Amino acid sequence: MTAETATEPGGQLQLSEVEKAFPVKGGLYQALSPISFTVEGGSFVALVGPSGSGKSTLLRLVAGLERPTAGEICMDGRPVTAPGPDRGMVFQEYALLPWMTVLDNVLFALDCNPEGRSKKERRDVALQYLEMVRLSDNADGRPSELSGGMKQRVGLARTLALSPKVLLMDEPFGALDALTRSVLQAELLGILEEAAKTVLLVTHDVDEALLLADRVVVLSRGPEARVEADVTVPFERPRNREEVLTNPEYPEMHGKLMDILTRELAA
Amino acid sequence: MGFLGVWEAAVRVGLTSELLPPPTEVFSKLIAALSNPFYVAGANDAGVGVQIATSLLRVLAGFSLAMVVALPIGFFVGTSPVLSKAVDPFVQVLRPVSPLAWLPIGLALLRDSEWTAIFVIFISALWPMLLNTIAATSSVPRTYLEVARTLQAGRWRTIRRVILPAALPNILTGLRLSMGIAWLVIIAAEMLIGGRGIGYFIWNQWNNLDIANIFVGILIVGAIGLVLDKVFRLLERRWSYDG
Repeated sequence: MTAETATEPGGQLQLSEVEKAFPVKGGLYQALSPISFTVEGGSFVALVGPSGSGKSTLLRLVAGLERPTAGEICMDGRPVTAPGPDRGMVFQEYALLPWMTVLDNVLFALDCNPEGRSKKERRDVALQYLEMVRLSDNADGRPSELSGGMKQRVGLARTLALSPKVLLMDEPFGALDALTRSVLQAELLGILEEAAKTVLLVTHDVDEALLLADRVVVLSRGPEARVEADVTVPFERPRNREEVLTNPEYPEMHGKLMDILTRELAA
Repeated sequence: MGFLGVWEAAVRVGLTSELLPPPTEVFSKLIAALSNPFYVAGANDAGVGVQIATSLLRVLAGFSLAMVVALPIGFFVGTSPVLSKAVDPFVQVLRPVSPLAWLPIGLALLRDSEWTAIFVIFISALWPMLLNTIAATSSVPRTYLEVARTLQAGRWRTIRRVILPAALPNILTGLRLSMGIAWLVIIAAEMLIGGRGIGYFIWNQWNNLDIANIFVGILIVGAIGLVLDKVFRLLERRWSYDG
């Protein structure tokens, strides 16, 4: 990614022959056929695919919220068996706890993982992350008072407050309007320039994938989804929307990914 | 007002049963009852304040006992899908039974009318509390639980900071429904048990053929029921949240 990657090693994800089946009436639904790929530490991989391709399932497996039926997921060589603070999850519908203030939502993450910090220190860290997403003024408000974009910024602050090596994002901007989405995408790019992280982003938005990711992994339509394509995104970092959109390679990359996705939808 | 006027006129003209008092008489008896509510003149003769206090204490005792039993069990059952399935048939069979059917059992087991009244209130209040607590804790949105899991909140912290606050509004609804039923049932239970209490007060007025005082009793019971309901609605609003 950038020079910071070298200063913060780790965060490598290795998926080996990962399968997932769900019990359904009268048998098993094989959501994922064996899937293998590696996400290098500090790199940004976007997972795209038609709906029902199991991309969210794959993310939940990496998060440790569910266990694969076969195969193995390793983070920095250690098998993933449960959720851990090294892998932060950003949920699609923000998943803020509505009975807590904005600050307490972020603080909750730190209370769960105090790592020897005093209450005051945890509060300072929470405030610092709220500051980072420009929501200091809303610290004492309730999530219900915030717009969707603000809610997801709180979600981001809550996840980043634990300094996870890996950021797992499940269509984090999917529920936002186009303008808010592009603002948050830019903010995410800025945040990642400050603190390099491995990111696995589930999205159905090819533009978003090309803007943010170093690599786009395309899953085929389920059941038995597999890796249909694995494309490297060549744009330089730091990036911004205008430069990416006006890059001469952009139309071809966009067209190529859209072709694969359309073919999958028609299949 | 119009209705009261017609009632008053009908009684005065003699169109109704001679037992039916005119509203003015009910009103004056209500004033009389409320102006000296705490006198005790004998086993069957005490002020409405004393009767109400007796009934409220019974309801409070039975209701509190039901809370002690229903809330932990409901919580435990609600967070365990297996237990939910196991307990459901029992609750479904027992819930539609009128709490008064338990009264003879209470008398047989407890051999004490006071404790039997409390026992009947306990049974009445139990089901709505239990069912709502089970429903509330089993329907905590999955995302909230997954947030707790990804943050590694741990069992106790998840219960205290996620499941309880998420379930609280529905649990409070259960408490309000329970209180409503308990207040309905105490009147009937006291009529059967006798002694003291606003239910027996009303029954006793029937024995005295003092219909005006029955209306006084009904008005007071209604007013207190309304206040109890309001208190629980305030609690519900206090602890609700906008998803």
